[in-house]
Amino acid sequence: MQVGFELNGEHLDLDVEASVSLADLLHSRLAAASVHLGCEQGVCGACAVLVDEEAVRSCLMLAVQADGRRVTTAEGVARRRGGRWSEVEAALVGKGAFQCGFCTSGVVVALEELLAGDEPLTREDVVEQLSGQICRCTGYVPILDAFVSLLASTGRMREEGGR
Amino acid sequence: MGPAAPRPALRPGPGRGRHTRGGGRYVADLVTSGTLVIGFVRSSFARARLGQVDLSRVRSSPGVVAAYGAGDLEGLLRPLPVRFGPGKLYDWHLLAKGSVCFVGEPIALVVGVDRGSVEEACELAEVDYEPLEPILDLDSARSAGAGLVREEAGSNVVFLASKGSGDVEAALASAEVVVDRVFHLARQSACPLENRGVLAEDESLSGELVVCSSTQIPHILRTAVSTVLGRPEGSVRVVVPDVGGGFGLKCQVAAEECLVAWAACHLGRRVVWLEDRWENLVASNHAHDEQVHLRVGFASDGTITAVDAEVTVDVGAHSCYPLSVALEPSSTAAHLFGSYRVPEARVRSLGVATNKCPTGAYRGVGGSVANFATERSLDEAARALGMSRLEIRRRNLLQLADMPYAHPIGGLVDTGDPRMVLEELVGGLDPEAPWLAAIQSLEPAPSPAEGEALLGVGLVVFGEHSSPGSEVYRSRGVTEVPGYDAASVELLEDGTFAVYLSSADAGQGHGDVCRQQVADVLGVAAGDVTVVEGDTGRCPRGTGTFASRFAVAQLSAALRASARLSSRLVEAAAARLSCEVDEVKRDGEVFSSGSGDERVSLKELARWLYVPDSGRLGRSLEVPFAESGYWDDGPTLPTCAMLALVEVDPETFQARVRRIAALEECGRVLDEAVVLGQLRGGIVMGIGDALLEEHRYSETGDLLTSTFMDYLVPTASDVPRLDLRVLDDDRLHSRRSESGAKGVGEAGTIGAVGAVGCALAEAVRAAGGSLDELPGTPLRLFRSCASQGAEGSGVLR
Repeated sequence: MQVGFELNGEHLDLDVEASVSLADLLHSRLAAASVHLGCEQGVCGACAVLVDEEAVRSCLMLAVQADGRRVTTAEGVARRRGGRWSEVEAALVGKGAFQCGFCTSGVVVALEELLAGDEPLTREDVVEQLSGQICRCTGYVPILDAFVSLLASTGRMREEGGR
Repeated sequence: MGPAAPRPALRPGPGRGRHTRGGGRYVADLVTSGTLVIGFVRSSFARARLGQVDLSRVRSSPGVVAAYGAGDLEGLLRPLPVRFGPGKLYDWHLLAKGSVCFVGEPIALVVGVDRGSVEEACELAEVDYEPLEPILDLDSARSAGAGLVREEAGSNVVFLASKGSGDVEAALASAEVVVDRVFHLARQSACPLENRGVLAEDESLSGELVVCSSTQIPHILRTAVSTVLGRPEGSVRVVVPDVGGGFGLKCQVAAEECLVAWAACHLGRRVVWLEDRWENLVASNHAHDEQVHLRVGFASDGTITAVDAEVTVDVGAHSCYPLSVALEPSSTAAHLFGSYRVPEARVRSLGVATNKCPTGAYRGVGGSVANFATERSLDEAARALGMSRLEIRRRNLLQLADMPYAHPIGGLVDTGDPRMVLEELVGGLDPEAPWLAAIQSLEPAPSPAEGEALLGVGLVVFGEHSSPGSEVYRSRGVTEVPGYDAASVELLEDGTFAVYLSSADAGQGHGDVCRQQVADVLGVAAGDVTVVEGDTGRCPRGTGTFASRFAVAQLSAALRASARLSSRLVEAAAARLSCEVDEVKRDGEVFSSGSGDERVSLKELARWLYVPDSGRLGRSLEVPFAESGYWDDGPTLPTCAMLALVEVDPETFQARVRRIAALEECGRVLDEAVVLGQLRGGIVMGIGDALLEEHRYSETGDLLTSTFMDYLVPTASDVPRLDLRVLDDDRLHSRRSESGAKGVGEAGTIGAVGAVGCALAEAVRAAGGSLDELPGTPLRLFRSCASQGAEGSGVLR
């Protein structure tokens, strides 16, 4: 099947079998090394990508469903904002918020989705967003701390219960 | 699907910062155009005689290049000898032969052009099974007439060992109180986020078989591959790319790793196998699944008089290589009451085979259940004796004055002060925090009012057997684990250094720690040291990365090599400066002779050594200018004290850990950020073991937990507030390791299983129940609370 979509700012027209998942297309054929296959059961979040503005599990989406959409992988997150490093990446690197690194690109995508909004957020909101991403190494604490610091530095943090 | 596009050279910056945008290179990222894909036909039955395996339809399926069953490998692939059965080796044929023993056991290997073709073809295999009644628990495995899980083993009791001394029965008979209980930890598995994977190619140019595997044990894997292929070890090279977590799972050699290597040689093609999560959960390795029966005697003042223990592990249908079925039973036994004075003790440990997934290592190994069992018994005894839980520990914990202490079951404790670790933890607690009162109180927690959460506090103090040496493995009858680790340090022509390690990193951050430590010994900037590991082609042979080996075994070897090289640098400088060795002075990177007139920089010295201006005399000036180091002195024993506060919802019985406080004493602290990172990650993993993670089988031996929706691992919402501190006290540094470090990889997990487990038991007790089994899932907690009247049971006299 013919599919046309934008990947990290570039338009692509491809011929793809209907049964191929977006994750497989991105990782195996389009060399998006950040799209990691952790479970292919839609749970772990390691294959998360932005489709338009929404973080999705690319293992649960067929490649053909990306037709006409704008797909951003972790490789393209910084470029999307016109920088060399995205704020989320810088925050995670600053806190050393990874060990093995396998979950990290999915985490970047999930947090990027949250950062892209403009509403004030609580630590609970961050926990909720991050609870869709499995990390077996860090215990999540440095990831949470990194992102909460980033929100605080941009005036986006809000105390619990003040909504 | 078309061929894979070449990978862009995207490595934004050095170090782990590259991970934020897919700059890591895991096995899946090494797949290039033309790489053939391997899949496995796996058993649908837990126990069956295997008739004909007909692969003709598989072979004619589109995109399939080849398919092999056990019969096709006859004479082409040697079996791997593994330990399974009382003191015996048997031949592991890697593909099932004659029978299948667990669901998911590999039966045939299928090679094709892409994953889709291979997966479809695997479905076409026609396998004749003659199903037998599966043996799925300890009782049926040991009952007469159940039959054998593996005929070759000769028994379903495939491991048996005892240890201990003294007259335990007499001591128990005269004890004031005897705690007699059976503790359980469920079947669990490590679940690194990256599944297993291996890519292999027989290089025609070098004649070397290159095996790229997501492994923790490259050198042991090389030995296994060379054994099954009958090739000289020198012609097999194992390379470890980025590894997406190991946690013990990847310190087993997988049948698949050997089979993929064989297929690469047999077909002369680059081949890859990427495990999927179903395979990982069903057929990699599970862990734990054990019970610990403790009888512990206490005198009226609360001192322990005797421990009698029986550890029984359901090891599943197979051994693991290299650690073998000795792993979990031995490790559990060795960790019981490890931080406590125990006058008389005896432990019997058994491994029992069943038709379930083979078990292997998972972070903490036997330490986790041993900690839970030990500390739960102390809580029970405190209650029976009318003492506080804090006091009974104070009376029994080892102190520095006891060192070295010959523990009757744990072995020699060389240094440490568990009592001090407990006092430091308690002394640093916020006096208002609810847990201080709970552990000091003589009374059990009051029953909560209707509708209020059940609260419980758990307190544990334990040691972790880090970095065992060869003596430990030989005492378990295991000869497949070397036990040592090794390093070499080389001065290069440009005046920088390379360090080659026998370990393999899986994200722990070995490189940064090693670089700084080695640079300090050599007196150079860390930026002038390059660390290489995970490559048998370049690195010295050793054991690998598990059981907190890095900071102890591996770093000790590197520091010894560095010290030797540092001395040799002075000898070389003396030769260059034409003076005596003891006249050489060193100031930073400049060496000078006694008179101070002659000077040579490190970079000039390196250049002089590698580009000689005439023939040289003297061994000490020969190149490569390198020294090696070796370490085999383990184990070391770090100590940790941990407190957990849990709450259990009175309606749903959902438990939540509210807070954890811990104090870790792991000898000299090399890098506090790394220590805290290991503790945090370990604690959250241990919370999973204590609350969530549990593999379950159906009556037919099918795994019911084959997705991450059924096998639950902790997420960000399970993380409590953590108050972690590290105690670095010169008196407690290890004398066995070169740096004084003791290792910190497992403490978080072991501690959280014990502390959260004991806290859950207290919460359940407040509702009149009793909990000796983990994980504390809502169903198990509900049943425990419903078993009213269980209170006080298991305490005699």
